Amino acid sequence: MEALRVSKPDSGADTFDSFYAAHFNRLMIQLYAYTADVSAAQDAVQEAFTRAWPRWDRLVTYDEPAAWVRRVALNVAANRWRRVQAARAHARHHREEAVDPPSPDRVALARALRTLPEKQRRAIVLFHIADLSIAAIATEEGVPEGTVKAWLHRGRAALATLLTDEEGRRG
Amino acid sequence: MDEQHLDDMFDRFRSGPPLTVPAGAGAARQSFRQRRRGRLAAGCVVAALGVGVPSVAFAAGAFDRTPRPPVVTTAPTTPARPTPPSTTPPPTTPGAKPTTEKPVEPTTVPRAAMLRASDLPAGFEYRGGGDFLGGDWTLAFIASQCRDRRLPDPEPGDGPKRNAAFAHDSEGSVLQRVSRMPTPAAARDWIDGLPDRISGDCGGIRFTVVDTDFAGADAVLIRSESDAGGSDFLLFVRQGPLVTQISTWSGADLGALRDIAQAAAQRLCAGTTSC
Repeated sequence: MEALRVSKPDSGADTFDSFYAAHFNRLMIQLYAYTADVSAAQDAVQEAFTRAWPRWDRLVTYDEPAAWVRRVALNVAANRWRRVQAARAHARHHREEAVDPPSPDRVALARALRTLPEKQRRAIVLFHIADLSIAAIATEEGVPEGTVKAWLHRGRAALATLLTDEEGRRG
Repeated sequence: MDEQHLDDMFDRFRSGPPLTVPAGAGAARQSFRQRRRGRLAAGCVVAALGVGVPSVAFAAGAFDRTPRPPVVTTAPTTPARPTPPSTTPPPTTPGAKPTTEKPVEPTTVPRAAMLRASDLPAGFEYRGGGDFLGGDWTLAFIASQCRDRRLPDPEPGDGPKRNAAFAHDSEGSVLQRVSRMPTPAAARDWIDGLPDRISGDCGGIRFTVVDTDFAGADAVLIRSESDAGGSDFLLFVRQGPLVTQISTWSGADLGALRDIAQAAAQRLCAGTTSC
């Protein structure tokens, strides 16, 4: 709680800035795959970096601090109450600069992912988008590797069907 | 769609252009500072409203901070350290830890994972930890008084538990229960969903989420108000698969509650390998 009570000098700001710059876009893509919503992904990622800052002196010693940020962002995105809080906190920081909307391919895949059960979607995002190993996902989710493989298998099968249907509709 | 086509779609998804212009690391720091100011202000408001008027004994500095838990080494109060994935290395890794054999997660709740009197303001004494606590102070008990709807999963699982009670001559009591859930993910899901499950008026009792993420891997501070009068604070803190709920004396202020949550989070590390 000290971080909330004691004025924290901006020590570590340089490394935090570098870390943010190196990982923001990658995390955005992962969270967009999870939420199918650019704004929701942006709020979740920004919220995760906001929570990372007061812990930065500790996080920077982790083997992979980006994994911590991703996990927090996924938790924020998965929880309605936290999503609302993050949207309130970060909406004013959304930038107006023009960015091309996601390509039709990306939109189709994100929308198809959105229809999957949460566990399958999370496993697919971690494996195919975040590039985690099955063992790492199993550890992170607290389940056996076989369970992760089953989630991936079912998720991929469902995605193939959904995207085939989508392609058919698009001609 | 065949497997190769699906893999190609994932490749294009990953390698496409940025989706948005980043708000920037400075915005993240600014949001944190604003949030900190807001919390401090909220603490003052709560105290001024008399929700919790701390006694002189609980003023800043009154906490007896000796002795601290010997179990905490790197003292993380953040989520369990993630497994390093195969992505790019972090920008700096001065303290990167070598891979060693994995310690075994306990199957019970050891006594060392519980609060001690020294974690609480001066004057609190340990009064035991048996079944005499009953449980008529827990969220499950409070939620059972709801008239209109049943709150789902008010208790963090039915696994091993341990209780502790502390009493103060004039301030009342601090009651603690630590529950072990099957996995860290199960515990995380349970506490993540807690605000959604309890929010609002369930008929005669209103629950309000006062604060979150101020201790341990996850933390939630809930205030319950009864139509019959009276309000209570319930603290929830998670480390790994362990979830503790703590009921405090009615006059506790937010600063004191957060201090207790921090102490509880550190103690929990004695009962899990997740810290």
